Amino acid sequence: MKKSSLFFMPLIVIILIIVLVNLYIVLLEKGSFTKPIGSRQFDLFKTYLEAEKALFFIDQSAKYSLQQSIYELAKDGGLSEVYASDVLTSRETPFIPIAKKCGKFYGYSLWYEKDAVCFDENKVKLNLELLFNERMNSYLDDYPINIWLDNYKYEIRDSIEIIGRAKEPLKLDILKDERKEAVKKPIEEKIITKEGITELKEFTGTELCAKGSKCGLTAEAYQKLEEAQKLAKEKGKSLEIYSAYRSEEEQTALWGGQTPERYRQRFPNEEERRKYVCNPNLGLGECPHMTGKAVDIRFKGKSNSDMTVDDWKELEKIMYTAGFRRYTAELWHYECCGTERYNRAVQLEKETGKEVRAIS
Amino acid sequence: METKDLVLLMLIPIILVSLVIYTDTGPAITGAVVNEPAKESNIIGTYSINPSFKAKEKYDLDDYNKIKELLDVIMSCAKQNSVEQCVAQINDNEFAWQLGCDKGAEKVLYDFAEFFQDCIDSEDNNCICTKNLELSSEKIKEYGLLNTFDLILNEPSQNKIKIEVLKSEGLSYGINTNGLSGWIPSRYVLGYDSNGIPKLNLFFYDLSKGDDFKGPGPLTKLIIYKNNLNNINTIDFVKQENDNLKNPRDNIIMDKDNKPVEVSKLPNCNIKPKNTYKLCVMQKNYKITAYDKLDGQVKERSPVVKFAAYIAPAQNP
Repeated sequence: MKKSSLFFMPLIVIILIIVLVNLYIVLLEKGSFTKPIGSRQFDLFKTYLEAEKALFFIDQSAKYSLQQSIYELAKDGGLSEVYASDVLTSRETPFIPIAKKCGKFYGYSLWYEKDAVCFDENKVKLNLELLFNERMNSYLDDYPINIWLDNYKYEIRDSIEIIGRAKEPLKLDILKDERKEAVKKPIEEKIITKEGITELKEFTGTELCAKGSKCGLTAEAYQKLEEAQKLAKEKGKSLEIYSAYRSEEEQTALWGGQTPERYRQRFPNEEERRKYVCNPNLGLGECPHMTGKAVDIRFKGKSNSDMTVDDWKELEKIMYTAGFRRYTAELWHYECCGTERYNRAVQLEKETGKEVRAIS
Repeated sequence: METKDLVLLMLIPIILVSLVIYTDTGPAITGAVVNEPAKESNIIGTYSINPSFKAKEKYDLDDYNKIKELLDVIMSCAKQNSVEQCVAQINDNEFAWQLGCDKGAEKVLYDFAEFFQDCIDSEDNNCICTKNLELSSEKIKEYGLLNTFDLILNEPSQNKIKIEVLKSEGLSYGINTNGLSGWIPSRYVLGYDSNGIPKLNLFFYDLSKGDDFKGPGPLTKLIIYKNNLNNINTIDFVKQENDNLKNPRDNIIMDKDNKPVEVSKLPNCNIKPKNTYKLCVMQKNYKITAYDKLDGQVKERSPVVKFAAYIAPAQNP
């Protein structure tokens, strides 16, 4: 070995030690060593396990829902008793039974009246499907994570096999280990409505959106909604949106009977059907949810039937102050930001000089 | 050592120092810009799965068609025989048919509601409707009546009385009063002991005095007195004592001539025949696990198809 080599080798070792110590200190300061190696992989694995648990829960819910709906269907004589208030898009007074033709005779569904046949055996499958969806929703709503409600297209095969095909996948957030609950912020996305390209704030899974629902609004409408939420919080309440933007496809599916509500099958007459759901072919004035500027809203922790008259009044005051106007036929439906109904309300206010909180 | 080896050796510390400097820059500096770390999203990604499912049950919806066909057989049979006979004949291995199968609170509610509504709907006046509440001990067990049932009556709107069963969520019935008013109870409490002895207590609300009070009782039968006083039709829940009727305030009811009304001289109100029958069809040898709000339990049960049908009465030859 040469003499110069003897000098350089220790020098390199010393420099290496200094550099590695320095590197260790820097990385330690950045906190990168607070987690063990592979923690991210574990986070992913935990999410996978959560997903498996959710799938198991869905399978079990389907099993029990099927048994329960068979029992209840029989008790109701093969007719279902789904109330308009249970259907998100009902457009008239809530709490009207809409599936019964002749009503009940002291608790028993009428199959035959003196001059009328009230039972249609061909609708038994449809009635089972409605009941099943209701039971399924109540199970899924109880699950701790957000599983979409009314998310299935059903197929009922003989002796009975029910297949629920999900319309939307189940999405689970992969969370950093140190926090247990997801802190969600609205996501901005561009959508093409009949009005053109619109900036949509998607706030599904946030405090403002009901569990199991999908929520999106235009940026302007969302801003007003945040303002309304601020006002509600000042009064010790919180708002909950259970229906907001609907794409043309979603509205067409609702109208066309491709959703669990089965509007087309239950109301073949279009005029009758329009009492419960809007016809997307009649434009945005008819279907304001398609603009992303309309919401169906209530106070958090209450269903529509739990809301008292005072609750609805308070909600109307909050929403009006935040810049929304209500549709008179629906206590829960508000619009803003230049929809046809909103513009009419504002115009009427200018003409009369009086507050117009609700308009037909 | 050659010159090129020396240059390479000198480069090693330079590369290492550069590495340290590089590592010390980047996210740590931008991280400082975020002054509200609590509002940072803690989501590092999304995991997506298809939640479709399939569920199976050994049950045939075609049973409803079969039941409807059998009902048509009963309806044809009823042209010559009584409905009770026809129903008894139709029982087979697959289905068990029964005329009405209400139990517990449902039985109490619908029996009372039907009696009340029938009496209101009868067109005559100055008559009584009577219902004996006594049952055999076997029937008490069969109907699950070894309990006390509490019904609340209120008027949500004019001409309507809503009867609700306490402690049985959602079990209620709406009576149409056809504009009649009178001594109508605000609460109906019925209990049975194991010997089949009924104990009925009626509670009333006195509008003129604004107080709730218990009527005479316990009673073993229900009596409704329909009357016309000063051209106003009234309907009163009353108690019979000897040959007289007493109102809930325990006063003897007088007629137009101010004489006590004699029960023996009063006709029974003419109840209109309805010819609508309650039918229950149980699928034999089949059970499922289900919840029933009436008993609040989840257990194995046989589904019972319950429906009502108008069956034309037998034609007299």
